[in-house]
Amino acid sequence: MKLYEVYTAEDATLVEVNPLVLTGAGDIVALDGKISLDDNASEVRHHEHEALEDKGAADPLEAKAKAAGLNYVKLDGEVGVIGNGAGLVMSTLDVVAYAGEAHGGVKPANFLDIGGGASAEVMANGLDVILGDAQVKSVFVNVFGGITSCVAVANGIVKALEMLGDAATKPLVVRLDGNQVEEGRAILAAANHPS
Amino acid sequence: MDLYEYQARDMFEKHGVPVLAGIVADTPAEARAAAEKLGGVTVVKAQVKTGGRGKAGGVKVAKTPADAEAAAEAILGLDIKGHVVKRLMVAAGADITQEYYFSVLLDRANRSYLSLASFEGGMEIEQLAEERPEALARVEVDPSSASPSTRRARSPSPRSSPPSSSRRSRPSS
Repeated sequence: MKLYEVYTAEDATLVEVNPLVLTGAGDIVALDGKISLDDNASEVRHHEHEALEDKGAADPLEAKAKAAGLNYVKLDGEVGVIGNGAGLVMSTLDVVAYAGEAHGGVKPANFLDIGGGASAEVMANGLDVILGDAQVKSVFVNVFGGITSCVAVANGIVKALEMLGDAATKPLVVRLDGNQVEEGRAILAAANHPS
Repeated sequence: MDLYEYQARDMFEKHGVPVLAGIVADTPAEARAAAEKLGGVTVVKAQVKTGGRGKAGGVKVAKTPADAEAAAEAILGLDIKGHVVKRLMVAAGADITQEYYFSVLLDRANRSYLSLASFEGGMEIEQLAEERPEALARVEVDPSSASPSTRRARSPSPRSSPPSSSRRSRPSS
């Protein structure tokens, strides 16, 4: 079989043939195929892979996030997660999954890092993407204000909720701490979002 | 990056994996022309990066070029799990005696490559792994030492080596 060669030579992370069939004439033929390439390897070793990319057909939510310059990865669960800094977001995913075990295996719905120094607009774009995910039942925002000001985050949340209007019916839990936390919390309290 | 089926087909062909003739079509007229070129029974397949195409009506067998055109008409624009069909592959029909499943994937948890094989191809493999894990052979392939000969020696024999169900891993599909 040459399939292993495809896997190694093209630096794939998955080569799947389903079905691989035996024909009436006794030949083995790959009737359908799925290949996932390692993007890191494609960038360095397989410049020809660039031609295979179809920018219009990415996951609709991921495409939307990419267009907004967000670092977003769709996952399988139902709790939307927004945080600042990849490390904090990863930890938050773990904590959500761990806490979710007590509630029948509730899991995070995505990875979304709004980065350091995130503006209100970035926050709003992030919430917009997450609330647009039909799988999401609630959203957990976990932001530690270092470079990012909690005021900007709070303004972003309020602005996003205004933008989304009636579409923003999902419960939102916000953990804010750090830089300008008092002011940030005051903004959220004043907005008094019902859910 | 995930590839479309037609891109995977081309890549298979490039490396000598046996595949059937297939022609990409973006319109019903192109699908008809492709079916005429291929001759005989063809299969019109939606090109979307998601599973369950068949169940969603994205794969149709066409006996004539006119059938292929009609099938293309029906499939183009179809919404399959949020993916709208914009492109088709018209493939030569196959005389299928038996369907198998085979894959090689990166098994991050075990820092290894994992090869999966089953005599029961065709259906969704996640479902098979769930319902009848014994029908799916799992063979770990050491990335650093795999040469063609060792691979052949270690090729899966599903009936003699049932996989342990405690170490299930699933391909993303």
